[in-house]
Order: sequence, then structure tokens, then C-alpha cells
Amino acid sequence: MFLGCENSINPSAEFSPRLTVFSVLSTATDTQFVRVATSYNPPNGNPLLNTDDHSLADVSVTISDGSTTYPFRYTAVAREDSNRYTGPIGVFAAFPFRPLANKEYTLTISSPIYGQVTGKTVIPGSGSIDCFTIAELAQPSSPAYFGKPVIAQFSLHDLARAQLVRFYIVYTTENPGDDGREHYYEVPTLWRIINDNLDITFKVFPTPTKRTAPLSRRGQTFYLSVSYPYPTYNESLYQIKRRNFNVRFKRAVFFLVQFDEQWYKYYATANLFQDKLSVRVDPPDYSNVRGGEGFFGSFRVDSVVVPLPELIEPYPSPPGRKIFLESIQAPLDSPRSAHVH
Amino acid sequence: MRFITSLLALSFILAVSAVSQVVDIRGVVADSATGERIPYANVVLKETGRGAATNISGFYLLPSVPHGTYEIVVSAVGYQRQTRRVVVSGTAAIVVNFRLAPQAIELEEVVVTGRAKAEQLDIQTSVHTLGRTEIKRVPVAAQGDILRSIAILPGIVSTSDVNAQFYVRGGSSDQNLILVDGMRLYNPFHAFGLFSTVNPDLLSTAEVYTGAFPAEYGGRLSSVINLSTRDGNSAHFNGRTNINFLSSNIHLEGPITQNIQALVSGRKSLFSGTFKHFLKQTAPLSFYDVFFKTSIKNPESQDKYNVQGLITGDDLLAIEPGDPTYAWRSQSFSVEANLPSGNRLFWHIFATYGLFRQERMSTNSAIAPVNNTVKEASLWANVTYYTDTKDLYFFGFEFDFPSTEYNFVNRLGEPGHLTSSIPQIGSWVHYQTRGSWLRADVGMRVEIASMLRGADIKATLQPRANFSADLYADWKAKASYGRFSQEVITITNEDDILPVFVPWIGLPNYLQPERSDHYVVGIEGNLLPSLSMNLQSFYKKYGSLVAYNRDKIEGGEPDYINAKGEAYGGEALVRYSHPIIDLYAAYTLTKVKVDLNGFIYAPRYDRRHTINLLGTLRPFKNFDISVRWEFGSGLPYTQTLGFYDKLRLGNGWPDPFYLETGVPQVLYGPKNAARLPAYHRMDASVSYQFTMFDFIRWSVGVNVINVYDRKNVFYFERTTGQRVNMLGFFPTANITLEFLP
Repeated sequence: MFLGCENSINPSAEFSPRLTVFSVLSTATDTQFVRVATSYNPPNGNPLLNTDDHSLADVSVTISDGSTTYPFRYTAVAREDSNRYTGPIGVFAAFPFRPLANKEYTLTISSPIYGQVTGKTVIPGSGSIDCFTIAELAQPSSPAYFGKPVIAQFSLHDLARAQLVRFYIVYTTENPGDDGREHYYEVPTLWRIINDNLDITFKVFPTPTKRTAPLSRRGQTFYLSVSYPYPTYNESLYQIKRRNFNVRFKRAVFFLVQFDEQWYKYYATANLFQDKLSVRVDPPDYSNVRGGEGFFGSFRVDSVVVPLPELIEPYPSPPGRKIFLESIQAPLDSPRSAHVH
Repeated sequence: MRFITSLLALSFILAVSAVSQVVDIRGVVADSATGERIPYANVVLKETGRGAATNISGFYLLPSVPHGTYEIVVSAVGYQRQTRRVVVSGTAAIVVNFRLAPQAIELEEVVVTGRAKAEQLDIQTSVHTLGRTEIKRVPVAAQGDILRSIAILPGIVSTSDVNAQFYVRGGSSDQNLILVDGMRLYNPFHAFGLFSTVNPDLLSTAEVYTGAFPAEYGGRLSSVINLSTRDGNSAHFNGRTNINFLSSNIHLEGPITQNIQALVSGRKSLFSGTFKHFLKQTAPLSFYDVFFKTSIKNPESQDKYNVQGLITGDDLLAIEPGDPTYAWRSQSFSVEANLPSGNRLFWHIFATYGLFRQERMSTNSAIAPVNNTVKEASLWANVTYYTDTKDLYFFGFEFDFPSTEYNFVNRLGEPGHLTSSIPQIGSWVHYQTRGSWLRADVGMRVEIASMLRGADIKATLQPRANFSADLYADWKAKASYGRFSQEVITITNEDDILPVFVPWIGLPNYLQPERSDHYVVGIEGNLLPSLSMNLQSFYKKYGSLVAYNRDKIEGGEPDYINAKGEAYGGEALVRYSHPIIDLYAAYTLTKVKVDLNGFIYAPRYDRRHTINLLGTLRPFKNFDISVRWEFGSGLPYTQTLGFYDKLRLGNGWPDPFYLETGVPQVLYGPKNAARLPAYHRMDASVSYQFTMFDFIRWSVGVNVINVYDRKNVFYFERTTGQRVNMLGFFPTANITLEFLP
């Protein structure tokens, strides 16, 4: 009580590095990745002064489904964002490894220095996705369609905690050096012209959203749907043709991504609860890695394809398109979704 | 049958005759110089020893005094005793008003101890009253301040030199009800709490209930600070002006007519000028406040009516371009009536209206503008019924209509609009009895509106009980219990070091009202004729508290949940009073725990040990030397375990998660498990008062804050390692000029 002369303060407890692990299993690829690093203790407690990403290479990384164990090997990939760190990103990869639905996978990372951490995930099973407006997509655009939405209907597996639907137009061009490669152009759910002369537009794309469908009962399946205003599809066609040479449309693809519980819990806290009504100001955190930080989750990707005629003429041609785009009565979404072209 | 009828008639006549042999004596006790009513004066019939005390409005009633001739003796601390002979006869109540002359040597009651406490407060365990002298005597930054002065009282913890937000017996800072003439203050502080918005020169009395407060008060869990202002001088016009390094003040008062007095006072900060000239520093703070009061009272009547208002404003300007600016504004008005009614009733009524608005403005797109408004209208009435004995009944009601509005942008960048309107309708009754050795005050407060909204019955029926028993000589034992609830709260991040913007909101309807139960026991008495002691032990159980939902993962889950908690501890207060020297020592031991669904932690203000020592020496007339020393053991804080780079996962798919760099996420250690260094500081002041030309009174003073320049840590910037200390050695001076009638 009377140690009042002691006047030093240590804001940090004695530093002891902890393993931080990030891994997301995906059914859409044959290669799976794991990021492993340690926590760090930057100079003066200022994390922005930290110049090393503290990736670890000398650890053992495996994922097991109970019968098969997949070993991961360390590799380095180019870093796209060099604002904080300049070196390549160290990751562990396993190939070929395409995880299966409805199976539990266990991630184990062992380090002679930092010990062992584990995490578990179960990949959601098959969902379904279909498009009810194939005719509108496949036919040349017409003003008759402008009042109608493009609708995709889907259902979720019981293990899915969140979902994401994305809508792409696949096309080729004869741009110099393109060599017939296919391009994907994502159709937004909202597209507003901010300044037509400067070609500034505002687009909103879907983000993972919490599952609202109830779990299936007695074989009964619950369907949900997502709709895109037809003018955004039309505007996408227009922009593709406008920016490229000799466009050939191939198909429209709707992807359904089903996320497991661990993925969604981490994602929600990493993005501040995904709660537009929250008044909280504290930084939330979540981890399912036992003995460390980070998370281990998974998702499954299903899709439906709608063939498109190679030559579609968007309707109407400028300047009339602006009128149709601005007729969309949808609220502006988060400024974080703003894109300037 | 005729015989029986005759007997009944005779009995009735005898009864009426007997009743008619006694009458009530009632009146008011006032200051002879200013006309100010004097609360808590003792009024005693010398021949019988029967007595009563004046209430907060200076009113007393001696019930059922038999016919005869009596001497009535009236005494009050700080006033000359007065005796008056009264002939009691007839059937009508006799009105005897007193005007007491102030004593030449101030012996004003300061902190209530067992020796000299007003009867109404004598039963309460956890009440302190501060007079004007005491408020001015505590050395604070340049000028007296009521809310900083009460921080010396046992049970009250202040966590910072520059933040007068206080925590009472383990309660959070929003659990304190602060009333000024019935007006609820939602922002009682200027300049982050360096001063309170109520100028101490205006105060008549300050009652501080640190626990188990009476049934008249509700809506807060921990404490009540009930401030009563003075009336304007009824005899003469009077003016006063004060200037010091931090603010200037002008004050005018006087009679408008024979029955109407007015008072107006205003303060304006001088921070920016003095800091720039003397310290070569920028002080972006400024504040002002204006208080006015009009009193209507007939010296020969017991009625009194007041109209008063308090208007305050604070601004915090940006230091660097892009910094936000802040503004706080409040306007509060009340109409007060004090009036006897019938033979035995005394009404005390407040009708109030208040508007408080705080706002953060910014030209920086990264800092979102926010604002918060509280509007409140209320009607409060308390009735005292005087029985034939010294027993009293109190009953009353309160209609309170607070509405809050909070406009904000959350961390997702989403604008939010949170409004609430939660009517508070309370009613109470309590009974106060005084036996030969035991006194009791038992009652019940009912939160009717909460009950109708379906709140837990435990939060709506609120028993209150206080007992006081004589032990030996003038030693008393006391015990009290009370239950309290709260539905208007502040929301802050508890880990904020200096919360600048603290919005008030109505409790969301998915939460139960906050609820606490207070248990207090204690003894008090005099060790020596001039040395008093008060020992108390308290246990406060929080049946319901509002806390962050730590398990929240996603939208749809509540931001807040009901937690539980408890606080307990002990207090010791020793006081030596002498005309030349006044010594005061208070010690508080407190332990606070919050239980959030099994996760138990100590809140930021869980200060285990607090010591306050205050000495005042008056070597000769009008010359005071005061020294104050405060010690507080280290407050809890959460240590950093390190950082890791947290991935945000982009838009989910198809962006590859493993290409993200991530953003730094702090890894916290166990919540509030570490303790900051202990706090201690010594302040001193010297003041002298003298008169020139018979009509100008000067008061000059020098204050020294932090005499030995202790480096008390204010906060430690977690992300930069920067340590910021509280006030260092800081001398100030002030001068007051008062024009005497």
C-alpha cells in the first residue's frame, strides 16, 4: 500500500510470443494454404514501427481428416501490399488437396520453440443454386426487361453459417496479347452514376451475410433468392464492350459460397460484428485456434452456368443508359464499397 | 341508553377540551443579515427539552405544545444562539420566526460527524454535508469547487487530477445523481472535470449521500449529490468579482422588492490567455456558466418560492488541423415551492426542465461527427407530515420524462440514430420515528413506470431503511439498507483513458434496469470533545449491471448484456475541530468486482486504498493556511501481451486470404489484472481577507498544486509508449473583490 515511491509503469506484460495461424479450406481449389507467424512486441509498443511480418518457416504444418494427413510445405509468394512489409509472404501449401464436404479437418502446427496449436473445421455440404431468368440473360437486352430483376435462387447445407452469391459475366476479347483468355466481370447489386462525364460510378458488390434460412427439416429444403436489378447487368455488358475490342460473351455464372461457422465468426468480429446498428467501439476478437491466435475455417463453392450468345447489344446506347441506371431505387451502401473507375 | 349517550358526549367534550389545550408552534429560522433560510437549525423548548430541527427550507414545527409560557432556544452552527419567550394559548397554531445573527468566528459545520448533525440526517448512515467554508478550504486548482471537494470524503474515488468524474463505493461515474435545486445535471463538469459547473459561491448546502439514500431519490444506483443554492440577499445589494489564472467570475445579488430577491452569477474561462502568456502553451478549452435565481418570500411567512436556472457551455477546439472539435451545452430551469399546508403538512415541490447537448464536429472524414441530446422534464413533490410526537411521515411522487437522442457513426461507417423516451414515475412513503435510544426511518419507493413496462419486481419495489441507536455517551451505531435502480446510463469504452464524449442513452428495452442493494453498518461518536470518529462498512450488491457483451460475434446479438457485481469495503473518518485548527483524515478500503457471465474482473476505478488528509490553520482572523494530502493505491489496467497481424478476409471469396498483410491487433492480458503506480499529491493554499474603505472586501490567495511535484501517471499511450503525467507543480493565485453594502 505504501509503495508510493515506485513510479514506473510497464504497459506490457513480459513478452512471450504466441503462434498466430490463418487457414481457410476451400472446395474450389486443389491447393490449400496455411499462414503461420508469431505475435510480436514492437519498439515502444507501437505496432506501426514493426517491420518484420514474423512469418515462421521452421514449423510442422499438417491437416488431417482422421484417416489421411496432408503435409504442408513452406513457400513464398509475392506480396501485393507493401505498405507495411516489403518482403514476400511466407505460406505453407499442400497440393493436391481438395477437401471434402461434411468432413472434419484438424489443423496441427508444431514448433520446437512455440509449442503446438490446433484447430478444427467442418466444410459445409452441397447447396444448390439456380437462375430463374435465363431467357432475360441470354436474349439481347431489351427495355422490356428493365423493370425485372435477375434472380438467382439457392439453398444452403445445414452446416453453412453464412453465404455469399456472386454473379459474373465470362467473355473473351481480341485485345492485343489476350490470346483468347477468358475474363470474368462481376455484376454489382447496385450501380449508380456519380458523374457520367468523368466516368465516376458507385458500385456495390455482395458481402458474406449471416444465414437466415432455417435448417432443413424432414427432407424439406428452404430456398432463398438474390436479385440483381437488370440495368446493372445491362451496364456490365455495356462497360465490357466499351472497354474491349471484339468482345465475345461466353456465359453468365452464379457462384454460391457457403461458409462454415468458424469462418463466419472470425469474419464477423474482424469486420466489427457486421452490425450496422452497433454502438460498440471496442475492437472485438475471436479465435478457434487452441493455444494460439487466428482461426481455421472453410467454405464450399457451388455454381450455375447460363450460356450467353456471343454477341449481345446492351440497350440502350448512351446517353440514355444513365436514365435507367438512376431509376434504381436502392439506398447507398457503405462508403467502403465505393469504386472509382 | 341515555346514560351511555351522556357518557359519550362527556367523553367527547373532555377530549375536545384536552385537545384544545395544546397547539402547534411553527415558523422559519433565517439569517438576520441576508434573510437566507437556515436548514438544520435546532429549535428546543427549554422547559420541556422537546425539540425539532428545521428542514432544508428552514421550516420547523413543534407539535402539540401544552398551554403555558416557554422559552424557545434556537441554535445553528455558525450563528449566535437566540432565545425567545412565547406564551402558548388559544387553539390556533402559533407562528414564531427567528432571525439569527452570524457568529463572528466561523465554526461552520463542515463534514458531518457524530457530534453535530442535524436531526433529519442523524438517522442516515452515509451522508455528509459540506458548507461553503469547507468547499473553499480544500485546495484545488485556483478556486474552490464542490465536486472536487467531495472527493476528500470517505467512499469517493477520483481517478484523475484532471477528471472530476468520481466513483462512489464501487459504482461507476454515471451512477451518481447530481441535483442543483432539483435540476438534474448530466454534464456537471467544465474542462474535462477540472471544475464543476456550479460555482461554489452560490451554494448554501451540499448533501452527499454515498449509499442507502432516502426514498425521495431514485434513478441512480450509487450516490446523490444534492446541492442547494443560496437566495439573494434580502437586505442589501451586493456585488463580487473574482479572477484567477483559469477563470473570472462576477456575482450580483440583492432585493428587488421587500419580498423578492434576485441573484445572478456568471463565470468565463481564461485558459487560453493565461496558458499562452505564462506557460507558453496552447489550451484549447473554454467554458462559461450563468446562474440566476429569484426568490419570493415574505419574512413573516413560511412560504418560499424560487425560480432558478443554470446555463453552461464548454468548447474544446482542435489543436491540429483535422482534429475534431467538441461542444457541450446545457440549460436547466426549475421552479421550487416550499409551503406549509393545513396544520401539519409541509410541501416541497420542484418542477424542472433541462436540455443537455454534446457534439463532436470534424472536418476530417476519418472522424465521424456525433451528437447526443438529453431532454428532461420532471415534477417532484415531497410532503412531510408532522405527528403529535417527533415522528414524521414523508410521502411524495416524481414524474420524470427523460428522452435521449444519440446520432453516431459506428466503426463499420454506418450512421446510427438511437432514441429513447423512458418515463420514470416514482412514488414513495417513509416513516421516521425517534425513541429514547433508537431512531428509525423505514419506507418504500415504487418505480411505477418501470413496473408497468414489465421490469423485474426486484428493481421496482425498493425498500429503504435506516436505523440509529445510542450506545454509550454520544456514540451511536447505525445500519441501513436500500435498493436502487437506474434506466438512463452512459455508454463508454471502459478502457478509454480520458473519455471525451460520453453519451447518455435510455436503457435498451431488451435489458433489465440496473439494480443495486446497499448494506451499511457503522458507529460514530466523539473520542474527545473536539475529536470525532466515524467508522462504516458497506456491501453493495449489483443484481443487474449493463456491460459489454464480450461474447458478441455478429449483428443481431446485443451490444450489451446484464452483468452482476459487488463492491464492499470500509471507511474511517476522524476529525479534530478547533477555532484555530481543523484536521480531517479519511481512509477508504474498497474492492469491486464485475461478473460478466462468469468472467470476473475489477473495473478501472477499483482503487483499493484511498487516504485523504486535510489540515486548516487559522493563526489569526481571516487568514487561512490549508494543506491537503491524498493517497490512492494503483488503479487497475490491462497489460499488452503483444500484437499480431489480423487478416480481414476481404470480401470473402474469391480474394485469397493468404495474400493479405493484415492489420495490427493488440493482444490483451487478463482484463485489469495489473495495477498502475500509486497516486499521491500534496496541495497547499494560503488566503487572506481584508476590508478597504469599509465597503470593499478583498480576498487574495495563493494555491500550490502538487507541492513536491509527484509524477502521477495520467495515462500511458499503448500504441506509442508515450507516458503522460497528471498535473505537476502548479502555483496559482486568485483575487476576489466584494462590494459590501
